[in-house]
Amino acid sequence: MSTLLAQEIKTVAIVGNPNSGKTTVFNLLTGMHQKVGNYPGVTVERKEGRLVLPGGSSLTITDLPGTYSLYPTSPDETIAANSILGEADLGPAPDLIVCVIDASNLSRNLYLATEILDRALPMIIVLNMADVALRRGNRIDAGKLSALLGVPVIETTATVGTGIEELRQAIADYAATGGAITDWALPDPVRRELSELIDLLKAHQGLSQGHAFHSAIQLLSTDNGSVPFGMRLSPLIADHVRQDRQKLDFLEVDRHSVFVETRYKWIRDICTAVTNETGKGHRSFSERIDRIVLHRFWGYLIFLALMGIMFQSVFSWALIPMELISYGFDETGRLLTTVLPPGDIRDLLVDGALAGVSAVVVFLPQILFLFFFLGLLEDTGYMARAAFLMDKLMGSVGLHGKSFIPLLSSFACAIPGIMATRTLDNEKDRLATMLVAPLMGCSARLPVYTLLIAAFVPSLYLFGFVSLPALVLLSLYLLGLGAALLIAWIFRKTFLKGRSSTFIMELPPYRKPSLRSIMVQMWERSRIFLQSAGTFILGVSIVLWFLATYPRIDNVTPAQQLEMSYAGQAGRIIEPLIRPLGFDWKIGIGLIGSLLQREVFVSTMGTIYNIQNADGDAGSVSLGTHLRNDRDPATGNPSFTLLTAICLMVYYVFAMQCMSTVAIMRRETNGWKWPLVQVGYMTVLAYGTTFIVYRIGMSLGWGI
Amino acid sequence: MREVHEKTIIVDSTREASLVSDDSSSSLETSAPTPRSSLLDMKPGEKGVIERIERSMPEIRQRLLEMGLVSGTPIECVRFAPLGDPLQVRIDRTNVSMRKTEARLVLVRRTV
Repeated sequence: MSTLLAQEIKTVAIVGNPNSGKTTVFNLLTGMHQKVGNYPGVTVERKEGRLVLPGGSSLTITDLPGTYSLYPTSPDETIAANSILGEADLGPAPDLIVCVIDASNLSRNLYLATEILDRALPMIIVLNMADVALRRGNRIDAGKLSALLGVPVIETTATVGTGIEELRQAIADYAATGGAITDWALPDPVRRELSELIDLLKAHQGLSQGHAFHSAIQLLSTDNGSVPFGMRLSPLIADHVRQDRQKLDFLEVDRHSVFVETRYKWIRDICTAVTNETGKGHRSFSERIDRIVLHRFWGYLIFLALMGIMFQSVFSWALIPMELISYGFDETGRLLTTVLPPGDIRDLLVDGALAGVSAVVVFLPQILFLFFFLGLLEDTGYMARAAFLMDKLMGSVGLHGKSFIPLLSSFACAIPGIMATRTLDNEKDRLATMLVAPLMGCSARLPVYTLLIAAFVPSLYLFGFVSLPALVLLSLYLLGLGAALLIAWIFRKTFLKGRSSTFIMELPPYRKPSLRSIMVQMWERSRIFLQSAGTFILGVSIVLWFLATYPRIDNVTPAQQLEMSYAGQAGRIIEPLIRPLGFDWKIGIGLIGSLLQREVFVSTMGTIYNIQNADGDAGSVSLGTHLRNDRDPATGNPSFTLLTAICLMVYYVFAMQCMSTVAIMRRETNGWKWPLVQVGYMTVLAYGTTFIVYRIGMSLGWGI
Repeated sequence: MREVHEKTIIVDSTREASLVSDDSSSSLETSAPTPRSSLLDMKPGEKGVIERIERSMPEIRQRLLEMGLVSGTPIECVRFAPLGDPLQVRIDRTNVSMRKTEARLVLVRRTV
């Protein structure tokens, strides 16, 4: 292998097991200079950043999905493997690989590292969390490890930040030294066949030694049809491989496991050589915590408490900054109204653009809070325990233990919930969770529910203390929850059918979280959100404003203006469509307005009934009265009854109205297909259920 | 020069072999007289050594092997989740969790 001069390194990739701390290393190396995108065609995230070296030059550094092996068993791992090997149109192989190893799990982490060595790729090993290993009574000799493997080994404690600068320097100074030869003891027949196949691959397929070595192992350890990606085998080689497989099978060699087993034997020898049992290890701290955290009673209690706190923060505490942001935008609107000359431009800016931007930015506190908690739970290692506790429950509807937290967050707002599904590695589990998240609830639905319940649900008390209005509210949430679980189950049984992801995962030792790393993540998530939702919603908002304002008519009340605008006309046009649900054209306008934000329904209704500040308390009461008193001009019957209210609320439980959610779905699934599927099924569900409710209600005589 | 270890050549009852004759199972019995059971049969606190991973689900098998559950590795059953599933085991000082459907594939020889 030629010596690689430091200047020749332009791209670096960070790899490692999940939970090895590699993302923290990545976050610390790049700071704010990172961005998250998607790999083409899949929902796996692509994280890239800029690494600034001492000396000023910078490189591109990519954080690849965590993987246990270069012979992948999941889409995430496939991306990681292909990226490392430079295959599958994921761009050329990185110039340098930084392999992060968790010192507490040396043997399993070395598994991946040695596979990279097989491939003879330039590598630096980062020995992370050596302090934790030391506390457990194992001192690891980094120098010896480096000597045995033939690659530089840098010790770090990423959560605290030590070693990062040394790593930066090591990357800058990197010069290839040739690495070690995989020094393992394969059984003779296997070693012979492997050797032969390697030579053949080099001679006939033109592969390098490393590439041939890696590919030969894959060919021998798998069955027909399993070809290293993109390789077209010549008939000669294909035949030879087939014969080799038969030969080894005949000799009763377990081809599928012999390589893994032999590799582990070799690795364990290395581990023994470099680890010094200090004999001072104490009963693991993590184990003691687990005894409580995974306890059949205390465990769930703690879990509920933590979930409660997280939920409370996203649902309630976030309201304070959200109100502030709302207020801020209102003030800006007021300012602009006084500063700018009256006219269309001013209205466009204030009522169209500003309203749209405010509708998006107001989500920010919820996203920040949620990702702060998620980061905390993930970094400390608790997330794995949460999944462990919830898996049986989630599994009963075909979801994964890790689906629980995104669904819980969706009670407050589906947008951060959908973004949180990134922790799920199985694509099908992730999609199913994302698709049903909006059904769980939404804080923007509350103003609609509050208005309608206050206006139409009698303030009775059942059994003396259960308030009927509260019961109705609760049932709405339960309806959404039930539907979400049912739909998820249906999806998993039908078109998202597929092998459930394995639940084989590590329960990492508890560790102190790196606040800096969490901050970086929060920042990145917010940026993604603002970018994807922002542009989309701005557009939607301006269009809606336009529809509601034109054609302009002078000397009419706002209510009449709205009725005669395009939006009003649209309301009348869709009226026949929503009549079967018991809705009239006024509600139709409200529904159209809800596309921006569900609570816009309230202010839209307010405009129609000539109420100012319909979402304030006094306005709400007054609006409620108006709704109750509204009469259908043709028949003289009330046009808004209890049944209408119930139908409307049911509709809101199921309907996909929030365009921001659509924008986020598009971004997270990297395409329009799934957001459209989501809008589709939810619309059908909303329409169908409301129709049924309406019909039942009418037949029970509630409509009059 | 490295010696070939017996353990790395595994006499495995592939589906074809087991169709051929039932003798294969009895010959396995004589070479390994200790009772063979799966991970599922272990109770929390019990220790054992991994015999092999059954071949009925290749992808899961590969994953289990790569996580370090190779023959000859000591394994300890730590706990079952409060709802009964999944379970947690300790391999090589690492805690790994898996569902019962996956644990069923892991054949162990109990030592403690």
